[in-house]
Amino acid sequence: VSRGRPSPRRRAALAAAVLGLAAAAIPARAGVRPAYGGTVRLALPALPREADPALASEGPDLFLARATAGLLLELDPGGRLAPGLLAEVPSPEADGRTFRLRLDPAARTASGEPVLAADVVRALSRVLSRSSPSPHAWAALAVAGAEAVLDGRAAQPGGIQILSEHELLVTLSMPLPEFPYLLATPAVAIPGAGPFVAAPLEAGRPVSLSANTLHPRGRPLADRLVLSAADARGAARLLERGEVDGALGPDAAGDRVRPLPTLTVTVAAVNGARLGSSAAAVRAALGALDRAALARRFARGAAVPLPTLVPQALLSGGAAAAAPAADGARPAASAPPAPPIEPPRPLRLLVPEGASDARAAAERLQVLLFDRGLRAALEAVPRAAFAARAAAGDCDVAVASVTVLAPRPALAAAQVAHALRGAAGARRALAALAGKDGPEAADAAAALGRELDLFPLVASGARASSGPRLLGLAAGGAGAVDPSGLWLLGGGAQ
Amino acid sequence: VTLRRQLALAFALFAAVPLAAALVPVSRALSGALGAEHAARLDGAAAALAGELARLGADAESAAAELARGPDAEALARDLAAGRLDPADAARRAGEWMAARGLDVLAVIEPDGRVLSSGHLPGRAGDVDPDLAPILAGPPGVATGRLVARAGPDGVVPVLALVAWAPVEPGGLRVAGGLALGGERAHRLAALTGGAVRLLGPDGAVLAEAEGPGDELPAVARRLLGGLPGAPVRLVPVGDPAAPAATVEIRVASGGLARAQLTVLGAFLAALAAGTLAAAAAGALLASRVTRPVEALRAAAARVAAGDLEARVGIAPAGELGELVRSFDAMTADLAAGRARLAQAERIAAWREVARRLAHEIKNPLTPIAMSVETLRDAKARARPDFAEIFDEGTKAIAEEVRRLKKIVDEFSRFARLPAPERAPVPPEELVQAALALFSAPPPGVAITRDVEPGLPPVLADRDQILQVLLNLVRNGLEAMPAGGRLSLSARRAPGGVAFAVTDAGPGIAAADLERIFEPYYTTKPGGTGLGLAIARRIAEEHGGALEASSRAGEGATFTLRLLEAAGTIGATGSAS
Repeated sequence: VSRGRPSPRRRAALAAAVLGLAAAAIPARAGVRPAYGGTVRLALPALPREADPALASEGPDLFLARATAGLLLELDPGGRLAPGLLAEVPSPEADGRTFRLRLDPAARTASGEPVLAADVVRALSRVLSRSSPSPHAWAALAVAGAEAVLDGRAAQPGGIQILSEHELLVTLSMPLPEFPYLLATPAVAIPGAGPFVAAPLEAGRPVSLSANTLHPRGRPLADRLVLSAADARGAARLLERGEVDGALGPDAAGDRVRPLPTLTVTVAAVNGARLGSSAAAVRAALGALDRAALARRFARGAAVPLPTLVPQALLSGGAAAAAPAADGARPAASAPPAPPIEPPRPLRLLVPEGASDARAAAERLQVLLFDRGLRAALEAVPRAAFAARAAAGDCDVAVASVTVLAPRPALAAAQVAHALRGAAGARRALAALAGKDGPEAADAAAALGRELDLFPLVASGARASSGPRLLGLAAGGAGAVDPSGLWLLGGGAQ
Repeated sequence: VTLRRQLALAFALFAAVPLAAALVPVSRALSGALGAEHAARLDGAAAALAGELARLGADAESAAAELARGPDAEALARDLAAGRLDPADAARRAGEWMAARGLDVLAVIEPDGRVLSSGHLPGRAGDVDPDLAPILAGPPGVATGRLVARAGPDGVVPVLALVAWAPVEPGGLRVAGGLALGGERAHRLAALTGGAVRLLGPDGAVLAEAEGPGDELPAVARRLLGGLPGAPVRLVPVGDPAAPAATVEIRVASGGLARAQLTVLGAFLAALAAGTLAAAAAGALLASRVTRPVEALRAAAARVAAGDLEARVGIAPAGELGELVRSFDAMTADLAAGRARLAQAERIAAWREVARRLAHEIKNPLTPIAMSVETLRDAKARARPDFAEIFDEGTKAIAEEVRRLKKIVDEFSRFARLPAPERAPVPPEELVQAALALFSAPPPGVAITRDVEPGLPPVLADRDQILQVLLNLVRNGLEAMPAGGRLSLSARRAPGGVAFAVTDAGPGIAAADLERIFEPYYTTKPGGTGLGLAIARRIAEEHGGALEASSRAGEGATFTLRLLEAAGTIGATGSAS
């Protein structure tokens, strides 16, 4: 099969994607056909700093990962799984724990190297690596033998068996019908096989990406992508002057603004053992948090109260009714708690650096604790250190914002639990919510929150601001912008 | 304590007491002068502090007013009114403005009193800030001191701040901005005023404090000075003087003044010490001049008491001491001359006695000689037939008496011409053995025993002369025991030397004779010259030793010869023994 000519299956997939994008992104311009070519300039809140998809967790890094890494499976605009680098969506074997993955024999990286089963094994093992811990270990925790890799006793999970160059067998340690959705996340995507190829990252310099003509789904619409950094007002100015074609960030940067799904959840974790006598006061303060006010006054972007650990957007039908309270707050005790004894040290509220929603929520909690006679200090640490300390319980309260990558409740809960409670919490989340959806998943998520002493606070989403020429800047099936779907009116002709 | 020391101490006290008495009024006068200067400095620092607080309040008022009138606040009010700004976006503005304008407290207040955005306490958004509400109830544009809760690295803590508010037109928003009087500001105030600053809350709790510029004394000096010259403070109220929100306490560093006082005090003490030492030295010098003749007089008296009549004081001070010294020297000279005259008289008396006794001794043989000559002349004149027999007996008698005279003369000659001993170290064992060797065959009935203590040191002796003494003593002992008995010769260690003892079992010596047996020509033996023991004692005394006798009637007698140990040979002799 020639590289320049997409296969019929890829052409069909491309057509479906284009149709989906057109339906989702440009309803006002129905009937306008997407055009190839041109350079799309996007302003992000910050420049991407991490090119490894296994380490990407912040918005700009995740955008770069989606642009440069090849997803094993795709999600169509309706949220349904579709082939990506895998030739087909895998189904569970008879035991419910085994999945046979078949790679598209035509799948190539941007450099022309074929994508093989070993690359998939490497991607799944990479997120479990002990030497360079990934925030996405949750994505491979269900694979049998994942613990050995996490503990450093094995280089790759024993549950993965390579059958041939293009076929492998994955055995899970627990029933997890949602496993194929894990393969649609950038966390386990194959580096270098995405729709774009990035030039080496240079600190402080815009990131330039060029189209990958060898991409299995066909080349992206735009020839190039240029990613620059600007705050909200700076992005608005650039957009107004026509110096960028669009902006992604929590704040609106122009008149043509489209909110993205609220898939970034902010959750607090309480370490009762460390807090001791202050734990009750802290839980009471968290329980008394007005989540609606938190979403309105503190969370940036489009924000809604978060009833459970799973974003409402992922719970289909009646989930809200199953939420434990109207705004997600746990019922507070009828009597006000007794004034706690002031501890000799201030409580430590741990937040990751750069997580504005988590910091805002922690600042609000800080004031509520102060009003209750408790002194609490914020401590912002790098994300890697945050993950290690939160998992080890080395703080009094940890507040984190997690962008959910997989649109299934079990996987979302596992990702959130992993961010705040480590691998053990993620396993409990997978076990508690596997195969559940709707109200049942909401109930299980609420119970899981209580079990893990986690307090869901708000869910927020970015805003996509488009200039007059840019189209396709909207959420795809995964709830995030698909870089390959961005295009300019007139394409490269103008 | 010697007289010299007593005099030196008296001089030191006479010098120290007046100086020490002067120290107290001088120190008080100095403390008063320095304290007045310190109070003046403190008043100046308090005035500077009040001025700085007023300036900070004015800065807070102008900052709040400028911000309320500025385009940012106006745009915020307009966007809010038009619904173009989310509350969450607006919540970040105060933090941005606060940092840009160098304020420590900044909040944008909605018309209903709730916080829209707070830079100093972001988590307060949506609430009525209880710290700012009383300020907002007052008039705008007036800085008020108040404790405001502020988020910091250690959590939310109250901080004293000067806060003013201003309205934002239109829209009803209000901007409250202020400057905190925290640790950093306290350091600036301390640097400005040159004093130590403490910010005290209404309850007296210390909110912040800063030490003044380094002018503090070392801890040792602070302890030494104690309460001198004290460290008064001034209190400057923050806000309404009737009910201040806080008080700023300023304390000007007193280290410089205290150091000046310490310098003066140290100089005074140094002068006191120097004066005391100089007085003591002068006293010691004067005392030495006074006591030197007394010391010489004491030393000379000690020498005279020890028998040295040639001792003289040797110095001749003036005055009464000079008279005393001269009298002492004259008395000593008279004493020496008297003793010499007495010795001369004694010598003359002794020779007279010797001459008398010698004449007596010579006279005794002359009588038989004269009688024999008379008998011979009478027999010849009568032509006695037995003349030959009478002649033979008479000449025998004359010859016997002449021999006796010769013996007397020889003994006397020996006594008078006894040569000076030639002393050398001699082992006592050797002397005892040599003396008894001549009596290897003692008279019948006599048993001679020898008893020498092992390890005796050599004695300093003229061997022949000492041997003569021992032979004389042994021979006397044997002659005292004509019927036999036990005689022993022993040698024992004695203080400073060795004691040789000859003990016989004879009839002993009468107590009356015991005192005289060493006198020349005194004898209790028939035919004795009376010079043997006299010569023996003289030999002993010329050796630096002694010869003594002890006896009880009927229990024999013991003669003890004491000789000095040969210096420096003890070890060698001991090892030889």
